[in-house]
Amino acid sequence: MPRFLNATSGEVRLGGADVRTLPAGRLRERISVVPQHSYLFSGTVASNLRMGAPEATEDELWQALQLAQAGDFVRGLQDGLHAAVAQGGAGLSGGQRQRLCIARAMLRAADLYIFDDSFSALDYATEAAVREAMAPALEAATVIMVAERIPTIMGADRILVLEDGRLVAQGTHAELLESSSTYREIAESQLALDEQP
Amino acid sequence: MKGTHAARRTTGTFLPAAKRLLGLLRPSGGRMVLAVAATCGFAALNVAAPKLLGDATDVVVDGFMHGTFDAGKLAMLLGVVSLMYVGTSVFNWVQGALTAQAVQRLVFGLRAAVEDKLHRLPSAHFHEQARGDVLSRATNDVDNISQALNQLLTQLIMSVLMLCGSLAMMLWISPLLAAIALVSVPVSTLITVFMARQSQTYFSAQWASTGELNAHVEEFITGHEVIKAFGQQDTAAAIFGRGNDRLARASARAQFVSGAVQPLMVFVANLNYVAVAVVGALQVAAGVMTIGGIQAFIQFSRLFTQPMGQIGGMLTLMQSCAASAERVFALLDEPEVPREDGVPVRQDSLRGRIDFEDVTFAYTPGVPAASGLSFSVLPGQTVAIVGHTGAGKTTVVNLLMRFYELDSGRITIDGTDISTVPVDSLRSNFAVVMQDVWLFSGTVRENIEYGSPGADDDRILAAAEASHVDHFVRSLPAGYGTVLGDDGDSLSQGQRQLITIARARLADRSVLILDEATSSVDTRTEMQIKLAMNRLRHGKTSFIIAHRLSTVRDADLILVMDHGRIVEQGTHSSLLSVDGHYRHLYEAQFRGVDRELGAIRRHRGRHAAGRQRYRESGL
Repeated sequence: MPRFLNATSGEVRLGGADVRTLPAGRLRERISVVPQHSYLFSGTVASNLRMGAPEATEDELWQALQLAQAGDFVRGLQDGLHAAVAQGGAGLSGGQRQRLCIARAMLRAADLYIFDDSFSALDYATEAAVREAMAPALEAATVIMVAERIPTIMGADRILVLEDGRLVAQGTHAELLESSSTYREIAESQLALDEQP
Repeated sequence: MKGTHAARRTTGTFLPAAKRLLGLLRPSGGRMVLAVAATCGFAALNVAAPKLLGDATDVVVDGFMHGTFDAGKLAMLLGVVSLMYVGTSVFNWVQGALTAQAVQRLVFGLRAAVEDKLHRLPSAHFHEQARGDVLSRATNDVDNISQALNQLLTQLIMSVLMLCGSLAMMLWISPLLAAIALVSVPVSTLITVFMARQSQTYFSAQWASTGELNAHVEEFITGHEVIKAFGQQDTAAAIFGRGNDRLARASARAQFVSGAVQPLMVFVANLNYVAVAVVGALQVAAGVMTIGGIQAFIQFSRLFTQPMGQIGGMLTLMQSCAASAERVFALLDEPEVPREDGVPVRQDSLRGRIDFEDVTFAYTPGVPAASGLSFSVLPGQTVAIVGHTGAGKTTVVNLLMRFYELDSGRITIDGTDISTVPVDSLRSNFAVVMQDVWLFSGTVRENIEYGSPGADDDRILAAAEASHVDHFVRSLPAGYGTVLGDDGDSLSQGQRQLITIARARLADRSVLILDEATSSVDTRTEMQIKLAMNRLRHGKTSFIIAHRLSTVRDADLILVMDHGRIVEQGTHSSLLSVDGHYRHLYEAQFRGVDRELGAIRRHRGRHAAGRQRYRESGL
């Protein structure tokens, strides 16, 4: 959708318009992405967060950090918002990096939010808290979440089940459990991995 | 930008770096001696030739003025001069070849030293220094030294010898004129030294800016997707532009200042020429010198002042070379992880008993990552480490592998303090599968083989099969010969992790360190990873950074981390019975999942019941 790649055939439409006809810059302004590999640049926490919104005030930065459940650990850093970040975010744990990337994405008021497996490094409790905190902010927008864990996407309006690059099923969680064997398989294998004693 | 170590110079001398660099030439001592000898030959012939030409001129003049034209002598003199100039060409070529060889050997040694050094630098160094800057020293700066040194050695020796030779000849012909010529020397020297001080600062700035720019480029390329996603291309371009500007300005200043030297020297030389010509003419008029003598003298004074100008011109090069040499030497002088000779703990003898005794450590002073950590692991036991993100779970692993040194306390393996064991030997007892999968750009086979270099195909295949790797690798177009890109693009994250498990399996070490955070993995592959990891762990002592309830439940010892401290330790049941940190973590982390998955279970139950009814209804 952000046109990092162009479709070989068929169309991807945003707001009724084929994305290939929209200037890439304008297109990406309306989209906020949390990519799969959380990458931070050398600078400060603030400079990284402002990538999505150069005009953001410090209050707005703290708000976004709060949404992403990252407020506490940033406050705990020696220079807070102005704490130095090394290239690639080295020195921060995987979960901390991801939360900063989520905060970065949340700072941008977009029509479409894309979370590409953005919660993988977070434990379930933190992840649930983040999703809950983000919900009001995301209400008006379209959200696309790529996830591996069923609990992450269980409450979605529509779930797309992909296999080998093909869409094999779509529907709500309840509908899919009934209608799609693939979905059921995935749910059950996740169950099997976390069996209660 | 953090950590590019811009060298700030207050004095203009580049001598220490220059001396050290020249010292590196010692192994090529023999070649250099021959080169110098060849240069001497060159210089000698070059210097003698004008004298003979002077004599030849005298012959012609005598013939003209007194009518005694000795054609034979003239021919002989000219013939000898021709031979001399042929000789100088030969010497020149020999000298050039030998010098080039010596320089290339030096640079080769320098590159090898830098590469070697990179392996011995502590991990902390790479956290502080921008990668691009380190790379720049290893590449740009070394290249600069190579080019500059080649040119310098060739020309410098030649210039110095020519200088001395012509001076000698000048003194021989006419001490008076020589004295006049010599006036230019102190003047030129003063100019040179003054300019050198000015431009050295700029040269250091130039090469530091190069490193900085390199670092920016490296970062932007690595994170280019994020930049595009946030439309920050212009900002990134602006940062690059500013860095580029700084570099351009520093370079321009450096070049300008040191480039001003040569014209100045030439100017001084020309004044000199005028003085010599005037005084010389007066001498001839007074009958003290012959015309030929003057002509030779003027030629010599040219041969004298020309090298002076050249040396001034080479100043640019010398300073640039020294600036780069300083940066490379700074890297080579970085404190490294000491190479100790301790008691090597061989793999077979290792049973795998590990003890942490009151360990305290901080990544940055004042912010403890581990405080008073103490626990014991018996051989073959499984230790699960749990805690919220950033609680310090990887710290235990970092310390165990001695990527960092302890602030206090000690860690022992089989009773031996690990700080007394040579690091390479220590690490040869561990196999690691971490969250950040690292595969290099080689074939699948090579990546697996990395665990035990030189292993034969049978063992590699066995490791692959046991790790669920064989199946999907065979479905790849080139099978085990498939080359993995820097990001392993052709494979999914889960498949890449399976390969690292295969690699760990092949390595067959006594202690395992696993991070269960299988991020971005589909559940079917996650199943395979779990099975492969379980198989791998059989019979070995394992440290697992745990994310799954089943792992934690079955562990022999659970370490609960919070803010770098072990707050609780025990088994699953013993910890649950206490209303402590673990219980809260368990309830938050695992119960939440259970509730949701329970809903799935119940739903499945309903679904199964529904299907049953459907079947029973006989439709």
